[in-house]
Amino acid sequence: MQLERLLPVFLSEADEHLQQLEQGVLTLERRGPDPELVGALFRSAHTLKGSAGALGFGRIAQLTHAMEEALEALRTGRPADGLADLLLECVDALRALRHEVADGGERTEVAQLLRRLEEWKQGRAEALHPADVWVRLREDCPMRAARALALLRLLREHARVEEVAPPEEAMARGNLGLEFTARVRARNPESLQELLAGPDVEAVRVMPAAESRDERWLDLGPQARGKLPDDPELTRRASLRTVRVDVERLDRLMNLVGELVVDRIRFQQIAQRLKDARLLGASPEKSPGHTDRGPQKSRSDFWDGLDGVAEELAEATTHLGRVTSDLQAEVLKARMLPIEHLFSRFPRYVRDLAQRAGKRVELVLEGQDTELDRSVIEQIGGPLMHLVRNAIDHGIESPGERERAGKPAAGRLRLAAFQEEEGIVVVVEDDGRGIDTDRVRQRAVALGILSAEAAGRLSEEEAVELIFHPGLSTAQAVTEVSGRGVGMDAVRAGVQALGGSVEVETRRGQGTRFLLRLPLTLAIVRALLVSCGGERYALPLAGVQEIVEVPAERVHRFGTHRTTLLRGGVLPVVSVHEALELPVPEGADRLLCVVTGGRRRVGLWVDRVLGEGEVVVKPLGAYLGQVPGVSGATILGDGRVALILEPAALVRLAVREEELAHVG
Amino acid sequence: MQGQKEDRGEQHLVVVRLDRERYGVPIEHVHEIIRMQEVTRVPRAPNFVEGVINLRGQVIPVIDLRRRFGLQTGERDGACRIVVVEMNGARVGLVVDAVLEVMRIPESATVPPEEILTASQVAFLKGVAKHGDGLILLLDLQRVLEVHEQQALAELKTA
Repeated sequence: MQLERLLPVFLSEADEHLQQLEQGVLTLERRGPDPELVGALFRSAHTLKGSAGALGFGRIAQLTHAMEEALEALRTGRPADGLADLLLECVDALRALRHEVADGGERTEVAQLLRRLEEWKQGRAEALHPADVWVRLREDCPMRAARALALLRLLREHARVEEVAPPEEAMARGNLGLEFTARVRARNPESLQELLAGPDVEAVRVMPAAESRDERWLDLGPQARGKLPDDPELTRRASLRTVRVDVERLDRLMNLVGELVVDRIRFQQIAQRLKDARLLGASPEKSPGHTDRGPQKSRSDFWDGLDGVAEELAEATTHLGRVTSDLQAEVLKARMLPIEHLFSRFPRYVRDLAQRAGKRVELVLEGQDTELDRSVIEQIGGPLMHLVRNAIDHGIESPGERERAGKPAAGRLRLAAFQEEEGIVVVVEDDGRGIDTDRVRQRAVALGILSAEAAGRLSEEEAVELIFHPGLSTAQAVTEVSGRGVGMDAVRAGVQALGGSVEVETRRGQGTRFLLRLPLTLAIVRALLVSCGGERYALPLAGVQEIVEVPAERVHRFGTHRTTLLRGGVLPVVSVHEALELPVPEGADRLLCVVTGGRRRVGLWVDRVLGEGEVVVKPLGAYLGQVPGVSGATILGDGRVALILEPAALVRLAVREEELAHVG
Repeated sequence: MQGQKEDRGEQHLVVVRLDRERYGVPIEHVHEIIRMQEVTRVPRAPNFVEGVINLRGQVIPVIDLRRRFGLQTGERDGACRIVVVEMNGARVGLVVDAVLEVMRIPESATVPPEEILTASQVAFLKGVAKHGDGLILLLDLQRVLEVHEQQALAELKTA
């Protein structure tokens, strides 16, 4: 019971300390051990140790204690070599333990880390050398998988095993041929040769991991590299469903709710007075036999009373309006988080990715205090990770290649956020090799997405856009060729689903910049209220550039394809009626909402524009699922539901049909 | 009514009218019953999905049961109601001609639908209960709310 009450406090405290430890260690790695930094690290470990000990989490306490001792040694003059790596491993283990205690108990082993911390402290830890260990079992080896796992366990006692191919889970399922490979770091890799040689082992080779390690590693196939990309910590953290709210803000919310209660009472009183007034007003007619003065007086009272009620009603309504808009603003603010919540994970992520890819990357974070709605923050984590991973894997060149190109050996990766108009822009920018549009073209042709001729006609900008094509970007093989690629369509779709957009700018040899334009919040959007096929829809204003009226005869039609001329330029026209299968009014003039969907500018044809305002976004619910072209629903002033249109999806719907029409 | 106790041998039903038949909806799935209101159509939804309505701030889909069962759709009168049911965590409104009563039916009075009805009617029913001199058709909500099966059925019929 005690634990139940204290656990949530411990967990959130642990999250903070782990975050601080990790950031501190990364700084330590970059800047060396200045006393202040070491002191801060020490305090974090110490606090964590204290609270873990109090709750009986033995392993967390042991590990943090050992970290403390290592930091103490550092403070008293032990050189910092190798400690940062070791401490980061400790942070990972602590993080795993933190999640385990939340689910019931510590499971992650810490003995090996404790031993290594001790060794480091004694000064015995020498530099660890990376090596690839390749083991081939004899064909007659019984229970191969068990043998292989036993060998790995042995290997772990003498070296740090970073990756294994095939992965251990696969081995445990019996998915193993005769060979496996492990990437390790060991003090003396050569000694492993002898260690692993045994009765069932046909051959062991230990190869120092050289500069070219990256390519060799890639040969092992996607499983071998698959571990890092979807950093579970990032996803887990992003899906936290609880919010910390400032007590002051809660008080303000409570005050506003109090005001609402006052309003309710006022409205009840008004209703009562109206009833009274009605009785008063009705009485003269019901009883005509009254004295002369009676009805007269009643009638004037009646009108006076009604005036009073009207005034009070107006006043109460104004008050209610003010309270609700304050309430709305406060709740929205409570939903906002600085993007730091997301950005703070990237220093570690980038460091690990870069180390693995054999690149040097300097990460620059800007605009960390930019605030975004938590649901937006939750949902852009995936796309951002993707862009960062692509930038490191494919954008930024190896140090050697960069130097040959006359660039600094370390690549620069910039993650920035800032507010622009009514939204937020997140920038992911690298100074790498840029996107090779020729190869993208070739690839698109090879995959049958385009004819060679069509590919040749594309402008540079259009060719870059090809990376978002689902056919091109999901093809695994493309990544190495196009320089960018896996799942770029997923990135764009993810951002568009949030009502945002992705733009890309690239210059060969100089780098690539992705711009993610995001709405501040998903809960409330400014929208145009339009009517189409006899129903009302909300069209988010974010993408709307202008509204123009075009006579029906100026819209030209080729098959299902419509265009019109707007100030001398050709504007594709998408009929909302057709995209949503609504009845089409005959011969009406075209009212076009010019919107941007992706990089396209199109005119969305609607029947009428009814107005503009803020709408509260509500989900359509699981039963209906995804309705194509519709992102959600909202409730209008008259209490009826209006669906919210998703311009980019409407354009896609129309384009897809167009393509189908071409095929058919 | 015989059993005062909640024993397993009884079903507690909200009885609704649709066309000329009486249907029973298990009461544990009925969230509330509301008057018919204006429905916002949802594009590209299955034809029996009439649209969505605002249920005190929540947007919920509404199914026209007549269309769902392939019955003639006619004028709606004042007796028309939306029965809001909750199934697998989702709230859905069912449009019926009228809500008649709430009753308990002993399990012993029900028979599998195959014995009385034709195949196409059976698709949405769990069983049939004899009550007085008439029958109450017991709705299988799970089936009623399944979207894909119905689409397939509808396609079969038109083919």
